[in-house]
Amino acid sequence: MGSRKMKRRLDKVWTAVVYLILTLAAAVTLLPLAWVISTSLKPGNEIFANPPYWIPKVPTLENYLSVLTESSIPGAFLNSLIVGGISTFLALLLGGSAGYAFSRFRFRGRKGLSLFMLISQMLPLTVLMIPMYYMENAVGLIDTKLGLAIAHLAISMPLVTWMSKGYFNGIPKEIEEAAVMDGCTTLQMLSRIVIPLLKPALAATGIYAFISSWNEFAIANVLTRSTTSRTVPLALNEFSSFYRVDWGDTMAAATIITIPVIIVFMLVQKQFVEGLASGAVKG
Amino acid sequence: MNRLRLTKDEKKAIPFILPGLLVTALLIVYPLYYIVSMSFSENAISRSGFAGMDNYFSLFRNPMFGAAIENTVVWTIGTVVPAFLIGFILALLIEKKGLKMKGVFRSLIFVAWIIPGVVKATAWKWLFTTDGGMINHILMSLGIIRTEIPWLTSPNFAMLSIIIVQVWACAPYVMLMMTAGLQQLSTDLYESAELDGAGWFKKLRYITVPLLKDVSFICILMLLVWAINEFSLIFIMTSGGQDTTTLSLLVYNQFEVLNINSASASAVMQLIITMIFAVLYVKFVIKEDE
Repeated sequence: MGSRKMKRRLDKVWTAVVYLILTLAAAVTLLPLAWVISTSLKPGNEIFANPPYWIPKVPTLENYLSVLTESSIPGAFLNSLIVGGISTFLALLLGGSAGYAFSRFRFRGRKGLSLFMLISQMLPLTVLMIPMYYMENAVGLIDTKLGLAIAHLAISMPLVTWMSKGYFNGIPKEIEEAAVMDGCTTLQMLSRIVIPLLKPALAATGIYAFISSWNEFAIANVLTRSTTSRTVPLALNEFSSFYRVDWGDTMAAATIITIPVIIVFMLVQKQFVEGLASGAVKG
Repeated sequence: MNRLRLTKDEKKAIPFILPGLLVTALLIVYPLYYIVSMSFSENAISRSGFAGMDNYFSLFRNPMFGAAIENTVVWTIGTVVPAFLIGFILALLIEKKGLKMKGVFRSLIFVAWIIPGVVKATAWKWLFTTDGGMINHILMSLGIIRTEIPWLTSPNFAMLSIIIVQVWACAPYVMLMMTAGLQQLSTDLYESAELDGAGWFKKLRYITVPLLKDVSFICILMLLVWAINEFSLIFIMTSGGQDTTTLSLLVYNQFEVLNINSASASAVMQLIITMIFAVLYVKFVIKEDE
């Protein structure tokens, strides 16, 4: 049975090749990010060393220190938290209840409206940004955190509605009917039974809405002007827009604004990847 | 039955859905109406004076528009095709039977996908830089190039550079989508195919590819929409230099220089193009849902 042995050997070679390719792919994916961290830990004289090297010779936190004490990043971080917090809260409240209605009730226009929510997630931000600018200008909301939070609601509302509609679909109607039989009002039934059941899913939805506000650049770039409302993506972009860029500080700032994103996404990775498949997720 | 009378379900739905609909009307429907009406006005800012199609005609006559369309086509095809192929191949490899560390690879690639776009763009700006950037250094030490290439500022390389970054950024999404699709395929099919003596290519050709058709379409349409809509990556890396001005950059540039008539007309053009693919996408998602 030489051929079976041969086949097994071929299989082993093939598996090794697969590992090699995947390792290479993971390296290509992650090396740019490793370079960000490496640069952020280098003192000024090592950053432009020729030839460049990966491991800092004298690793230092001085870039982080200067970003945290002398730059606009801490202020922008706070702005981003507030803007993201307001828009996520409103999106969960309004989009969550709309998603519930789409899932539970039959009403005229239901299908059309829910498709509109799906398609709204694909609107170009460069198209929304111009009317938003004039609308907010008319009511004095330019360069305010509230103004940006409201604009971000245009992104997160459809997202939350569509995602939560899917989650509510997964809860059997019988559970709700039983609760109503036991004398619960609709609000009691929602707050005591449905929402606790969906806690992880709704948390994932909220985190997703928050991150899309945290990362958003195009609209914030137009609606904000000063440090009173500029969010982290804009603050980071300012770092690398100078004629002489301080790459050490820039990469430290990039790391600082990425860490919260990675932490929260790791918490909801499972729900998140499942959501991908149902077409509910925008990058 | 009275058409205007609300059914029992509709009465229950109203308190849940009305606030959300009002917000959607104010933040999405009204802005869309607003931009369209701007594009048909003689004075777009004040939305006064009906201009008919004049803003569109002068946009079409402007050579910048033709160039932007050309750039958008190059950018879109240049990013969507490689991102899809690379992501698909990686998904096939990662789902190979008996592979260990599957979860580790997937998590690593997932991490790369969720990094904020601005961070990705800034990181690559640093990698592509001419004064001691990593990419120039690697290529020079491998002997592929002799002198540094000004990647982001040269007319010949700027588009290629941002395409590389977008492919790098989007391939992980395709991989995640396709692995989700592959996991739904039943192993029975493969086992019976193996019993019939089908090799890996035959299995790929007759089982994997046909059954993944829908999820592939969804992926490709999503990539198309993202490519057409992409703004921050291109803006941050090349500041919208001429050779990388896609349609969304054109909209922004015209808005920046206060050429609002032209900005609103090009925005509506972008909206139309995006919506063609978005509608196709929605059709596929519904088909999957049912």
